[in-house]
Amino acid sequence: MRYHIKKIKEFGIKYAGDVETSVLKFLYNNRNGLIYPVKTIARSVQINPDSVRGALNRLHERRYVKKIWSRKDGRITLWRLRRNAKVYQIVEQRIGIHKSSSVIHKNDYSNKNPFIQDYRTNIFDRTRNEVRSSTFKGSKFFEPSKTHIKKDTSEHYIDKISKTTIKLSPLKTALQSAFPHIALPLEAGYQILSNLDTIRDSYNLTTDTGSYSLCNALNETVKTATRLAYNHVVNYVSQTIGNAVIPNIVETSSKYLEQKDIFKDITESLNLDESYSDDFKNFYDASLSNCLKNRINMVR
Amino acid sequence: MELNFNEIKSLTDEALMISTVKMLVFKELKDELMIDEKELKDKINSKPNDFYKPEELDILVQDNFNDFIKKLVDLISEEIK
Repeated sequence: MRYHIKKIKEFGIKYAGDVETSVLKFLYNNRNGLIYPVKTIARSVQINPDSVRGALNRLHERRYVKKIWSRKDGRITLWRLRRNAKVYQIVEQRIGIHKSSSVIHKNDYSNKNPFIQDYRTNIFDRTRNEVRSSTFKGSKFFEPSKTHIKKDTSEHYIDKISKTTIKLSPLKTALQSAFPHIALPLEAGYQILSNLDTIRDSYNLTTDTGSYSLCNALNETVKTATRLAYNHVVNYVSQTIGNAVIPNIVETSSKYLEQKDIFKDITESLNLDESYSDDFKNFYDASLSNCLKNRINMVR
Repeated sequence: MELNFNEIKSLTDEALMISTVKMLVFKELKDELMIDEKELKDKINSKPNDFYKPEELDILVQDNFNDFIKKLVDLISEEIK
C-alpha cells in the first residue's frame, strides 16, 4: 500500500511572504499619517485584493499594522503601519532597508539568505511581544534599564532619519518622496490637501539651518502672509470693518504668497502648466474674500 | 469686530484648501468643455465656499476624494450645459 507523502508547499509559503513584504513596503513608504483601503494598496502593489487582505490580516495578528473601520461604510477597512519604533525597525529589516549595522543587528550571515532573515525577524518579533506582555503584567523579573535604553535610542534614531530627509528637500520633493505615485493631478491635489499639516509640522522643526532657504516652506509663508493680513485688520480696527476692507487684506495676503512662489509650487506639484498659477491666484483671492465675508457676517 | 491671529490663519488655510479644490475642478472642466476660461472661472467662483469643502473622510481616503472632485465637476458641467 502506498502512503501519500505529504509535501511542504513551498510555493504557497513563499508567495504569502512576498505579498506581506510588498504590502509592508507600501505601508512603510506611506507611513506619514494616512490610512489606506485594501483596494488602493492592492492597486499600488499590483496584487489581487484578496491576497492583500489576507496578508494584512496576518500582519494585524502579529501587530504590525493597525486596522480601522471606515465610518462612512462599515464594510471598508482602512490600514496603516503601527506608529512604533520597534515595528518600524522590524519592518525595515524585513523589507531590506539596512540603515546602520550597529543599531539594527550585527550578524553578517543574515544578509545572505533572505528566508533565514525572515524567520529570524519573526522570532524576534514574538519574543519582543512576550517580553512586553510579561512586563506589563507586573512580573517580578522586570528589568527596566535595558529595554528602556534600547527603545529610546531606536526611536530617536528613526525620528532623526525622517527629520533629516525632509529637511534636505524643498516642499515639492518632500511631497514626491512621501508619495511616489504622483501622476495624476487629482491624486497630487489630494495628497497636498491631506498632508498640509504634516508638511507644516516638519518645517516647523527646521528653523535653525541657513543652508536651505526655508522661507519657501509653506508654514513660514502662510504664517507671514497671515501676519500681514492681521496687521491690516488691526489698522482698520478703529474704523468699522466691513466688506470694503476685505479686498485690501486679500491683496496683501495673496501678493505675499505670490512673491514666495507658493502658487507656482502648488501648481507644479499638481503637474500643471505654469500658466495655471495665475488662475490659482485668482481662485485664492475669491476663496479668501469669501471666507472673510462669511466670518464678518457671522460676527455681526 | 474681533478677529484674532489664529482665526485669520485658519481662514488663510481654508482659502488655500478651497482654491486647490477649485483649481482641480477648473482643470477637469477645462479639459471637458470647450468654453471661455474667464466664464468658467466666474462660474466656479460664484459658488459658495461650502460647496468646495471636502468632508473629513474625503481627505482621509483617496478614492473618496476622487469621487468628491468628480461630483463637483459633474454638477458644474450640468449647470453650464
